Parts: sequence; C-alpha cells; structure tokens
Amino acid sequence: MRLHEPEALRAMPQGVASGLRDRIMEALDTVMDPELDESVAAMGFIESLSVEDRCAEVVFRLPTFWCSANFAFLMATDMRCAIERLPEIVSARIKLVDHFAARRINRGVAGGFGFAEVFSGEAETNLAEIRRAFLERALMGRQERLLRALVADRGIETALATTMAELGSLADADDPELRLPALRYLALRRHEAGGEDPMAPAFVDAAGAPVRPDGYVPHLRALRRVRGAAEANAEMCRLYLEARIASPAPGCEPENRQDEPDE
Amino acid sequence: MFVTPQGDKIFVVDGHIHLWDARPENRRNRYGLTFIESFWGSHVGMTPPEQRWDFDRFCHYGVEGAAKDLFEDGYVDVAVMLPTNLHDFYVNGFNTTDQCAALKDAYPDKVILNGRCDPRDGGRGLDRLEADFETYRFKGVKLYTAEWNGASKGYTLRDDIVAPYMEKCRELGIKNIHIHKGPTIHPLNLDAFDVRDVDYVATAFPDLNFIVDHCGMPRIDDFCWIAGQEPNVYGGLALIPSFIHARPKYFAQMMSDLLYFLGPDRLIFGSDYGITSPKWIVEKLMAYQFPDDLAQEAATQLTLDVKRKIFGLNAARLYDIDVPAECRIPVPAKAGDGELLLARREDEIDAAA
Repeated sequence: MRLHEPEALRAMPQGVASGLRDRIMEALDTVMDPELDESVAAMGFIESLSVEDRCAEVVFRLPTFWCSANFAFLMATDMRCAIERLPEIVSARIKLVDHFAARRINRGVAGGFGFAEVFSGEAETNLAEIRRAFLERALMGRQERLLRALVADRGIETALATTMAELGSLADADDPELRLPALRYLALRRHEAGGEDPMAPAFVDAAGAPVRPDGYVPHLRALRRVRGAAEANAEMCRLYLEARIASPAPGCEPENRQDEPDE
Repeated sequence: MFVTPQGDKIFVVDGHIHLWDARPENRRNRYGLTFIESFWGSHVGMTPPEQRWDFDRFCHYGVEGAAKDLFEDGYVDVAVMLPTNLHDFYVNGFNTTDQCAALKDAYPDKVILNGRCDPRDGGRGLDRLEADFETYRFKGVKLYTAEWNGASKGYTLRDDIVAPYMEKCRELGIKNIHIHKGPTIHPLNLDAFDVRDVDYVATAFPDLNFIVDHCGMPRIDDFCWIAGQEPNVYGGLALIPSFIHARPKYFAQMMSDLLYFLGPDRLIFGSDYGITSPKWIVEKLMAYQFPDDLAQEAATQLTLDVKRKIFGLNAARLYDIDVPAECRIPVPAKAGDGELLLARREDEIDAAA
C-alpha cells in the first residue's frame, strides 16, 4: 500500500518551504477517501497548497464534477482538522473546486457546520453513519490483504489464531510484505473494532466473532468482494482524474472554471 | 457479428447504448456542459488513445455516426437503447425515447428501443408510460432511482409508489426493468448508490426481469451479493468491460466476482455507447482469458460459450431476439462450460485458489 505517492508529492507547487510542505502533505496523507480507503494525497486530489501568515490554503479537485457530496464533505472536514493539528499552522482553508456542491461544502467546512445544516432539506443521511459503514468496509479490505499474506506465510490455522498482541509484533516485523498490511490493519482493528485486549483474536468477522478455519473460505471471499470493489472504484477515480487533468473538455479548463453554476 | 480467428461466429447484442445530444445549442445551463464533461472523462480514461474521438463528435454523433460505430465497425447485431431525459440540463432532453427513436426508425431490425418511467410521477406518469408504450411498443423501461424530481432527491424501489408501475409494466407486457445503479448526478446521500432495494422489488415481482445497469458500480460488491440470491436479477455490464483496456486486472477481478455470484446466464454485455465504442471492447474481450487463479475464483473460464451468452444469447432471451443457428450453443452443452464448473463445491474451488 502506498503511504506516500511520489507523483502526488512531485506535483506539489513550489512556494511553500519544503519542510513545512512535507509536513502538510504528510498530514494530508492521513486523510482518507472513506469510499476508497486511500489517502487524498495518494489519490492525487490535492491540486495546490499555499501558506501565508501560518494560514494554509489547500485546493482540491475530485475526479468528476458529480462525485458524491457527502464524501467530499468528509474529506474536506478531515483535511482541515489534519492540517490545523500542525503547530506551525493556525488555520486551514480548504477549497474544493470544479464540483457541483463546491460552494456549499467550502462554506460549511470553513464555518464548522455539519453536512445536514449545509444541505438542509436535501440530504438525509447521517455522515457519522456513512463514516462507520465505510470504516467497516475499509477494515475488511485491510484484513483481506493481511490475512492472505499471513496464510501464505504460515497456513490457515496459525494465521487465524493470531492474537492482538501478535498482530502488534507483526506491525514491527522486518518483512515489509507482512509489516505494511499489518500496520494498516492494526490501526483500524484497534481503534474501530475494539481490539484493546492483547489476547483477543486479531481476525474477526463483521459481527465481531473470531474467524474459524472451517469458515475461512467463505469469509475470505466476502472480504475479497469488498476489497475488490473498493480497488476498482479507486482505479476508476484515478482514470477519470487523469483524464480530467490531461484532456479537459473545452469550456472546463482551469481558466474557465466555475465552482457551482446557476445558484 | 464477431468472427473468431477459428471461424466461430458470435452474435453481439450491445445491451446499453445511447443517442445523445450535448451540443452547445441544446445545453440549457452549465450543468449541460459539466454532465457531458463527466462522460468525456470516462471516454478519455477508458478508451485506447487511437480510438478516441474529438469532443465535438462526442457531444453529438447522430444516427449515421452511431450506425457506423455500432453496426459497421462495432460487430453489433442488435443494440438496446436506454433513454435518459435530463430536461433540466438540456433544452430538448439528452437522450430521450423520442430522440432515440431516430436510430430505431433508421434501423428497425437492429435496434431495440426502450422507454423510461419515474414512479414519483404518480397517475400522470402511468398514463404517460401507457401512451409511450402505444407509440413504441417497447419490451423494457429504464428507472433512475437517484434522479432528482421536483422536491425529491431520489427514491428507493421499496417505496409504495413503485408497485403500481411494476403492475402496469406486467399488464402491458413490459418484462424488462432496467435500473440505473451506477455513477449518478447530484449524489448527495449514501442512498444514491444503494443497490439493496433491488432485492425487494425482484422478490415482489418474480415474473419481471430486473437488469441492474452498471452492476451497481461503485457498489458492485453489494450487487453481487444480492443478485446471487435473486434468479430474476441480471447484471447489465456496461462500464465493467470498458476497464479491459486501461485496467485489465480490475476488469478481470470484477468479471470473476460477477461470474461467481450470478453465473454466465445472467450477465448482459453493454458498451455504454457513446461513452466509448463497442469495437475495441468486443475485440479485447473476445481475446481475453482469465489467468488460472481468477478462473478458479470465477468458477469458470471465459470459454467461447460463456462469451456467447454474455455477448448475445442472454440478451436475446430477454428481448426475444432471433439468433442465427450458427451463433447458438449446441445442445447438450459441452463439458467445461460455465454451468458445469459452477456446480462444483464452493470450498473445493476456493481451497484450490
């Protein structure tokens, strides 16, 4: 899994001291697209970044004008929080461009409003619910990658018997084939699925029950379906974003940009 | 018709095509531009560079352009048209049944024209559906659950308003219900992409066929799960095979999941024309074979007979299309077909994987 996408970093405009720029990009690398479980930095969503008087401005752009408003709102909120946590930064202004709800999202995030307030009368879904639903999917995807690697390494029985304590050691392992997926899985398993007990099983199903060897095959298939869908979605987003940047439709080039028409 | 290097003839039904008008003079507002811009991103992102069009042609290719791309160059024997109104964005609509009728009029034997309906239009919508049916005699209709309509920002197939429309379809003999479950406009809520409502309506109307266009993408995992349990739910593949050039690995993964959960008899090929042309997709897909691990996961290889089904025989069954004898699968099917492999026990297949 790419924690640092060199292309995204290379694309960063100059003008911000490189040390600070790196730290802001690192912060943005912790902000996930909830649907894809990939960071906004790795996806190449960050278009530009500037800092003036300790105030950061991040411009971001999604693969299409019609990407989901709820996910865009979550990402923008998370970006602001991640950057404002840096001691060098007092405030962060997040600017989504080229999107059907850009103006409302930017205003909402700047004012600290909730999604429901910004889209009152339009959106009914509770964002906390969405976040939870997609964290579950992310957890399944990360579990699949680790479980597959671990089963290849030591067999089904041993892999499934892994405890939370052993998962912690795996996250420090020398072998990057195990360490990286273990690290990613551990982060969600511990914080989102209540894995505080060191003797608790590392691999649990959606209901929180340990995965048994006789249930391994159907469990793995369920995981793979979820992981595969997220990966294919991420690839679709990459293709659309590349196309949008490389071959913009006439009238939609950066100089002809309009954030939210007819409002 | 596609002919393999070995001389096998494959009957091709493109199960998902449009004839749209996104020219500047038909755009009502900037949404008219940004909507076609999103399609353009898909065209550029998915299409091999030498097969790409220029933007003007993309906005309007007309009856002659479509006939060339589909019937002359694209191996298509029969094309199924799925209308999209979008009157809020386009003066005369984007791809309405009336607009699509121009291709049907020019090629009556090669084109299947479908209608559309919106259950939120109540009694008036039912009258409209009936009037459209009188004009066009279609065998299928398209529904867009995530579309806005007045104060409504979308609906689900569980809503009470839906059943009268399904009953009307049944009464008129419209047996194919296409449901758009894929990328959409104005997606505000998570529900915009929810596919779980298909389950409900498919169970309630077991004599109707539900073709889920774009296979629920970006919720293809949910779609596979639901469709696996409902024998009258079909996967409208449009968009999935388009991955075969730019992202073959992900195309293969999605196809293997779809084949595993739905089997080879419930998948309908579609190019999503004019997002891209069927020519290159048909050529690449006909030449494609799963690597061994994915064939195991799919519980079938993409055999010639599996391809025959996906490319034409499945859609021909839904739309009562007469398939030339040389394109049919000889009965009884040979060993090694999808169905036979599918009967293998799940754990055996996965253990081998």
